[in-house]
Amino acid sequence: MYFDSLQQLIFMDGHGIYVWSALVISLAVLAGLIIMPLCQKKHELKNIKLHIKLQQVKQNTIQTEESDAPHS
Amino acid sequence: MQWTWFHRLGSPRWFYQKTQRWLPWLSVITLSLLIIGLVWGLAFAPQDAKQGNSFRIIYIHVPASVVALAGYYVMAVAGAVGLVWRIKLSYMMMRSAAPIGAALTFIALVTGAIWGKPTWGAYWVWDARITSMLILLFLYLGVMALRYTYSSNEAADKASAILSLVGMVNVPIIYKSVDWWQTLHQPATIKFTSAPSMHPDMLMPLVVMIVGFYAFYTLSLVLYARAEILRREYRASWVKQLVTAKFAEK
Repeated sequence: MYFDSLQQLIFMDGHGIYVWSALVISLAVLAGLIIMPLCQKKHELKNIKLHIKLQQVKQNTIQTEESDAPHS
Repeated sequence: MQWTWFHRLGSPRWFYQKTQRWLPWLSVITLSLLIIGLVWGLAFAPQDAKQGNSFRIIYIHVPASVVALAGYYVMAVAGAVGLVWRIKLSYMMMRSAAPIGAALTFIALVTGAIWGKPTWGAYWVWDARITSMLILLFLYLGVMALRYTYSSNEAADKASAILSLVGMVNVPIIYKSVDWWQTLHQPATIKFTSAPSMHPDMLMPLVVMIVGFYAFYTLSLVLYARAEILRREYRASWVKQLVTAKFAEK
Protein backbone atom coordinates (compact mmCIF):
# COMPACT_ATOMS: atom_id res chain seq x y z
CA MET A 1 0.00 0.00 0.00
CA TYR A 2 1.17 3.55 -0.75
CA PHE A 3 0.04 4.83 2.67
CA ASP A 4 1.72 3.83 5.93
CA SER A 5 -1.52 3.37 7.88
CA LEU A 6 -5.28 3.11 7.44
CA GLN A 7 -5.65 6.54 9.04
CA GLN A 8 -3.40 8.06 6.38
CA LEU A 9 -5.41 6.34 3.67
CA ILE A 10 -8.63 7.83 5.05
CA PHE A 11 -7.18 11.30 5.69
CA MET A 12 -5.03 11.51 2.51
CA ASP A 13 -3.16 14.61 3.72
CA GLY A 14 -6.37 16.61 3.94
CA HIS A 15 -7.70 15.48 0.54
CA GLY A 16 -9.59 12.46 1.92
CA ILE A 17 -12.88 14.36 2.20
CA TYR A 18 -12.77 15.19 -1.53
CA VAL A 19 -11.71 11.74 -2.71
CA TRP A 20 -14.08 9.74 -0.50
CA SER A 21 -17.10 12.00 -1.07
CA ALA A 22 -16.55 11.74 -4.85
CA LEU A 23 -16.35 7.95 -4.49
CA VAL A 24 -19.50 7.64 -2.33
CA ILE A 25 -21.61 9.85 -4.66
CA SER A 26 -20.38 7.95 -7.73
CA LEU A 27 -21.01 4.52 -6.22
CA ALA A 28 -24.54 5.57 -5.19
CA VAL A 29 -25.32 6.70 -8.77
CA LEU A 30 -23.79 3.51 -10.24
CA ALA A 31 -25.85 1.37 -7.83
CA GLY A 32 -28.94 3.25 -9.05
CA LEU A 33 -28.08 2.28 -12.64
CA ILE A 34 -28.33 -1.39 -11.65
CA ILE A 35 -31.24 -1.20 -9.19
CA MET A 36 -33.53 0.96 -11.36
CA PRO A 37 -33.68 -1.34 -14.43
CA LEU A 38 -34.16 -4.35 -12.14
CA CYS A 39 -37.13 -2.62 -10.44
CA GLN A 40 -38.51 -1.63 -13.86
CA LYS A 41 -38.28 -5.26 -15.02
CA LYS A 42 -40.08 -6.47 -11.91
CA HIS A 43 -42.80 -3.86 -12.48
CA GLU A 44 -43.20 -4.87 -16.14
CA LEU A 45 -43.42 -8.57 -15.25
CA LYS A 46 -46.21 -7.80 -12.76
CA ASN A 47 -48.05 -5.70 -15.37
CA ILE A 48 -47.80 -8.47 -17.96
CA LYS A 49 -49.07 -11.02 -15.45
CA LEU A 50 -52.07 -8.77 -14.75
CA HIS A 51 -52.63 -8.33 -18.50
CA ILE A 52 -52.65 -12.11 -19.02
CA LYS A 53 -55.12 -12.60 -16.14
CA LEU A 54 -57.45 -9.90 -17.50
CA GLN A 55 -57.39 -11.54 -20.92
CA GLN A 56 -58.26 -14.91 -19.37
CA VAL A 57 -61.17 -13.39 -17.41
CA LYS A 58 -62.45 -11.71 -20.60
CA GLN A 59 -62.24 -14.96 -22.57
CA ASN A 60 -64.03 -16.91 -19.81
CA THR A 61 -66.81 -14.32 -19.67
CA ILE A 62 -67.34 -14.47 -23.44
CA GLN A 63 -67.41 -18.28 -23.36
CA THR A 64 -69.92 -18.32 -20.47
CA GLU A 65 -72.15 -15.76 -22.20
CA GLU A 66 -72.06 -17.78 -25.42
CA SER A 67 -72.99 -21.04 -23.66
CA ASP A 68 -75.74 -19.31 -21.61
CA ALA A 69 -77.32 -17.64 -24.65
CA PRO A 70 -80.66 -19.26 -25.69
CA HIS A 71 -80.38 -21.39 -28.82
CA SER A 72 -82.70 -20.19 -31.56
CA MET B 1 -22.39 -14.26 -46.82
CA GLN B 2 -24.99 -15.33 -44.29
CA TRP B 3 -26.82 -12.34 -42.80
CA THR B 4 -29.03 -14.35 -40.45
CA TRP B 5 -26.92 -13.28 -37.45
CA PHE B 6 -27.70 -9.63 -38.24
CA HIS B 7 -31.43 -10.28 -38.33
CA ARG B 8 -31.25 -12.34 -35.15
CA LEU B 9 -29.38 -9.48 -33.48
CA GLY B 10 -32.36 -7.25 -34.18
CA SER B 11 -34.81 -9.62 -32.56
CA PRO B 12 -35.89 -8.59 -29.03
CA ARG B 13 -36.64 -12.24 -28.22
CA TRP B 14 -33.15 -13.42 -29.25
CA PHE B 15 -31.54 -10.56 -27.31
CA TYR B 16 -33.59 -11.23 -24.17
CA GLN B 17 -32.84 -14.94 -24.15
CA LYS B 18 -29.13 -14.60 -24.97
CA THR B 19 -28.46 -11.90 -22.39
CA GLN B 20 -30.03 -14.07 -19.70
CA ARG B 21 -26.92 -16.26 -19.99
CA TRP B 22 -24.47 -13.36 -20.35
CA LEU B 23 -25.59 -11.43 -17.28
CA PRO B 24 -23.85 -13.48 -14.52
CA TRP B 25 -20.51 -13.37 -16.41
CA LEU B 26 -20.83 -9.70 -17.18
CA SER B 27 -21.65 -8.91 -13.53
CA VAL B 28 -18.62 -10.82 -12.23
CA ILE B 29 -16.25 -9.21 -14.77
CA THR B 30 -17.60 -5.70 -14.03
CA LEU B 31 -17.44 -6.05 -10.26
CA SER B 32 -13.91 -7.54 -10.34
CA LEU B 33 -12.55 -4.80 -12.62
CA LEU B 34 -14.10 -1.99 -10.56
CA ILE B 35 -12.88 -3.39 -7.23
CA ILE B 36 -9.34 -4.04 -8.54
CA GLY B 37 -9.16 -0.63 -10.24
CA LEU B 38 -10.49 1.29 -7.22
CA VAL B 39 -8.30 -0.43 -4.62
CA TRP B 40 -5.25 -0.10 -6.89
CA GLY B 41 -5.92 3.55 -7.72
CA LEU B 42 -6.98 4.77 -4.28
CA ALA B 43 -4.62 2.81 -2.02
CA PHE B 44 -1.61 1.66 -4.07
CA ALA B 45 -0.93 4.24 -6.82
CA PRO B 46 1.59 6.95 -5.91
CA GLN B 47 0.32 10.48 -5.27
CA ASP B 48 0.70 13.26 -7.84
CA ALA B 49 3.67 15.59 -7.35
CA LYS B 50 1.61 18.76 -7.91
CA GLN B 51 -1.97 17.85 -6.92
CA GLY B 52 -1.24 15.48 -4.05
CA ASN B 53 -3.84 12.85 -3.21
CA SER B 54 -6.79 14.78 -4.67
CA PHE B 55 -5.63 13.51 -8.09
CA ARG B 56 -7.03 10.07 -7.10
CA ILE B 57 -10.48 11.37 -8.14
CA ILE B 58 -9.14 10.76 -11.68
CA TYR B 59 -9.92 7.04 -11.20
CA ILE B 60 -13.65 7.84 -11.20
CA HIS B 61 -13.80 11.12 -13.11
CA VAL B 62 -11.95 10.08 -16.28
CA PRO B 63 -13.63 6.64 -16.75
CA ALA B 64 -17.09 8.19 -16.18
CA SER B 65 -16.35 11.00 -18.69
CA VAL B 66 -14.89 8.66 -21.33
CA VAL B 67 -17.83 6.26 -21.16
CA ALA B 68 -20.40 9.10 -21.00
CA LEU B 69 -19.01 10.40 -24.31
CA ALA B 70 -18.76 6.94 -25.92
CA GLY B 71 -22.29 6.23 -24.66
CA TYR B 72 -23.57 9.20 -26.64
CA TYR B 73 -22.28 7.58 -29.84
CA VAL B 74 -23.97 4.31 -28.82
CA MET B 75 -27.28 6.17 -28.33
CA ALA B 76 -27.00 8.17 -31.57
CA VAL B 77 -25.92 5.19 -33.69
CA ALA B 78 -28.77 3.09 -32.24
CA GLY B 79 -31.16 5.94 -33.11
CA ALA B 80 -29.77 6.16 -36.66
CA VAL B 81 -30.10 2.38 -37.17
CA GLY B 82 -33.70 2.65 -35.94
CA LEU B 83 -34.46 5.51 -38.35
CA VAL B 84 -32.87 3.80 -41.38
CA TRP B 85 -33.73 0.11 -40.91
CA ARG B 86 -36.69 0.45 -38.49
CA ILE B 87 -35.22 -2.19 -36.21
CA LYS B 88 -37.27 -2.25 -33.01
CA LEU B 89 -34.41 -3.34 -30.79
CA SER B 90 -32.21 -0.41 -31.83
CA TYR B 91 -34.82 2.10 -30.60
CA MET B 92 -35.02 0.15 -27.34
CA MET B 93 -31.23 0.38 -27.02
CA MET B 94 -31.36 4.12 -27.74
CA ARG B 95 -33.93 4.62 -24.97
CA SER B 96 -31.92 2.48 -22.57
CA ALA B 97 -28.66 4.32 -23.28
CA ALA B 98 -30.06 7.76 -22.33
CA PRO B 99 -30.41 7.38 -18.51
CA ILE B 100 -27.03 5.63 -18.25
CA GLY B 101 -25.30 8.37 -20.23
CA ALA B 102 -27.03 11.05 -18.15
CA ALA B 103 -25.95 9.39 -14.89
CA LEU B 104 -22.34 9.00 -16.05
CA THR B 105 -22.21 12.63 -17.22
CA PHE B 106 -23.61 13.63 -13.82
CA ILE B 107 -20.83 11.62 -12.10
CA ALA B 108 -18.22 13.28 -14.36
CA LEU B 109 -19.54 16.77 -13.51
CA VAL B 110 -19.88 16.18 -9.75
CA THR B 111 -16.50 14.46 -9.32
CA GLY B 112 -14.95 17.18 -11.51
CA ALA B 113 -16.47 19.86 -9.26
CA ILE B 114 -15.19 18.12 -6.12
CA TRP B 115 -11.73 17.77 -7.71
CA GLY B 116 -11.83 21.42 -8.78
CA LYS B 117 -12.09 22.73 -5.19
CA PRO B 118 -8.63 21.64 -3.93
CA THR B 119 -7.01 22.10 -7.38
CA TRP B 120 -8.49 25.36 -8.72
CA GLY B 121 -10.06 26.71 -5.54
CA ALA B 122 -13.59 26.59 -7.02
CA TYR B 123 -16.24 23.93 -7.49
CA TRP B 124 -17.45 25.38 -10.76
CA VAL B 125 -16.08 27.58 -13.53
CA TRP B 126 -17.77 28.33 -16.85
CA ASP B 127 -14.93 26.67 -18.66
CA ALA B 128 -15.27 25.31 -22.26
CA ARG B 129 -14.84 21.65 -21.25
CA ILE B 130 -17.16 21.84 -18.24
CA THR B 131 -19.86 23.82 -20.03
CA SER B 132 -19.86 21.46 -23.03
CA MET B 133 -20.17 18.50 -20.62
CA LEU B 134 -23.16 20.26 -19.01
CA ILE B 135 -24.71 20.56 -22.50
CA LEU B 136 -24.13 16.81 -22.93
CA LEU B 137 -26.11 16.20 -19.71
CA PHE B 138 -28.97 18.37 -21.05
CA LEU B 139 -28.92 16.45 -24.36
CA TYR B 140 -29.22 13.13 -22.52
CA LEU B 141 -32.04 14.56 -20.34
CA GLY B 142 -33.74 15.88 -23.50
CA VAL B 143 -33.72 12.42 -25.10
CA MET B 144 -35.14 10.98 -21.86
CA ALA B 145 -37.85 13.66 -21.62
CA LEU B 146 -38.99 13.23 -25.25
CA ARG B 147 -40.36 9.82 -24.29
CA TYR B 148 -43.10 11.52 -22.27
CA THR B 149 -44.03 14.20 -24.80
CA TYR B 150 -45.54 11.85 -27.39
CA SER B 151 -48.40 9.43 -26.85
CA SER B 152 -47.09 7.00 -29.46
CA ASN B 153 -43.81 5.17 -29.05
CA GLU B 154 -43.02 5.46 -32.75
CA ALA B 155 -43.19 9.28 -32.86
CA ALA B 156 -41.19 9.58 -29.61
CA ASP B 157 -38.53 7.21 -30.96
CA LYS B 158 -38.10 9.20 -34.16
CA ALA B 159 -37.87 12.52 -32.32
CA SER B 160 -35.38 11.07 -29.80
CA ALA B 161 -33.25 9.61 -32.61
CA ILE B 162 -33.14 12.96 -34.44
CA LEU B 163 -32.20 14.82 -31.24
CA SER B 164 -29.47 12.23 -30.54
CA LEU B 165 -28.03 12.64 -34.03
CA VAL B 166 -28.12 16.46 -33.92
CA GLY B 167 -26.52 16.44 -30.45
CA MET B 168 -23.61 14.37 -31.77
CA VAL B 169 -21.98 17.62 -32.91
CA ASN B 170 -21.29 18.36 -29.21
CA VAL B 171 -19.10 15.26 -28.68
CA PRO B 172 -16.08 16.31 -30.80
CA ILE B 173 -16.40 19.80 -29.31
CA ILE B 174 -16.03 18.28 -25.82
CA TYR B 175 -13.00 16.23 -26.93
CA LYS B 176 -11.24 19.20 -28.52
CA SER B 177 -12.41 21.93 -26.09
CA VAL B 178 -9.15 21.78 -24.10
CA ASP B 179 -7.15 22.36 -27.31
CA TRP B 180 -9.40 24.94 -28.98
CA TRP B 181 -9.93 27.24 -26.00
CA GLN B 182 -7.88 28.51 -23.08
CA THR B 183 -9.30 26.43 -20.25
CA LEU B 184 -8.58 25.66 -16.63
CA HIS B 185 -9.22 22.00 -17.37
CA GLN B 186 -6.05 20.00 -17.91
CA PRO B 187 -5.41 18.43 -21.36
CA ALA B 188 -6.35 14.80 -22.05
CA THR B 189 -4.27 12.31 -20.04
CA ILE B 190 -4.63 9.47 -22.53
CA LYS B 191 -4.53 10.17 -26.27
CA PHE B 192 -4.58 7.83 -29.25
CA THR B 193 -2.07 10.01 -31.09
CA SER B 194 0.65 10.31 -28.44
CA ALA B 195 2.13 8.57 -25.40
CA PRO B 196 0.20 9.05 -22.14
CA SER B 197 1.40 11.87 -19.87
CA MET B 198 1.16 9.67 -16.75
CA HIS B 199 3.60 7.39 -14.99
CA PRO B 200 2.73 3.71 -15.65
CA ASP B 201 2.11 3.15 -11.90
CA MET B 202 -0.70 5.71 -12.09
CA LEU B 203 -1.81 4.81 -15.60
CA MET B 204 -2.42 1.07 -15.13
CA PRO B 205 -5.22 1.38 -12.51
CA LEU B 206 -6.79 4.09 -14.69
CA VAL B 207 -6.85 1.71 -17.67
CA VAL B 208 -8.42 -1.00 -15.47
CA MET B 209 -11.08 1.49 -14.30
CA ILE B 210 -11.87 2.62 -17.87
CA VAL B 211 -12.34 -1.02 -18.97
CA GLY B 212 -14.40 -1.60 -15.79
CA PHE B 213 -16.66 1.36 -16.61
CA TYR B 214 -17.16 0.06 -20.17
CA ALA B 215 -18.13 -3.33 -18.69
CA PHE B 216 -20.48 -1.57 -16.25
CA TYR B 217 -22.03 0.40 -19.11
CA THR B 218 -22.67 -2.82 -21.03
CA LEU B 219 -24.20 -4.47 -17.96
CA SER B 220 -26.50 -1.55 -17.19
CA LEU B 221 -27.45 -1.18 -20.87
CA VAL B 222 -28.42 -4.86 -21.06
CA LEU B 223 -30.52 -4.55 -17.86
CA TYR B 224 -32.32 -1.41 -19.09
CA ALA B 225 -32.87 -2.95 -22.54
CA ARG B 226 -34.38 -6.12 -21.04
CA ALA B 227 -36.87 -4.04 -19.02
CA GLU B 228 -37.68 -1.96 -22.13
CA ILE B 229 -38.24 -5.13 -24.20
CA LEU B 230 -40.80 -6.35 -21.65
CA ARG B 231 -42.50 -2.94 -21.59
CA ARG B 232 -42.95 -2.84 -25.37
CA GLU B 233 -43.38 -6.51 -26.26
CA TYR B 234 -45.98 -7.39 -23.60
CA ARG B 235 -48.38 -8.58 -26.29
CA ALA B 236 -45.87 -11.00 -27.88
CA SER B 237 -46.62 -14.66 -27.28
CA TRP B 238 -43.03 -15.46 -26.20
CA VAL B 239 -43.29 -12.80 -23.45
CA LYS B 240 -46.60 -14.24 -22.24
CA GLN B 241 -45.10 -17.73 -22.18
CA LEU B 242 -42.08 -16.44 -20.31
CA VAL B 243 -44.19 -14.66 -17.68
CA THR B 244 -46.59 -17.60 -17.26
CA ALA B 245 -43.66 -19.99 -16.79
CA LYS B 246 -41.92 -17.60 -14.39
CA PHE B 247 -44.95 -17.19 -12.12
CA ALA B 248 -45.83 -20.90 -12.35
CA GLU B 249 -42.40 -21.64 -10.83
CA LYS B 250 -43.26 -19.64 -7.71
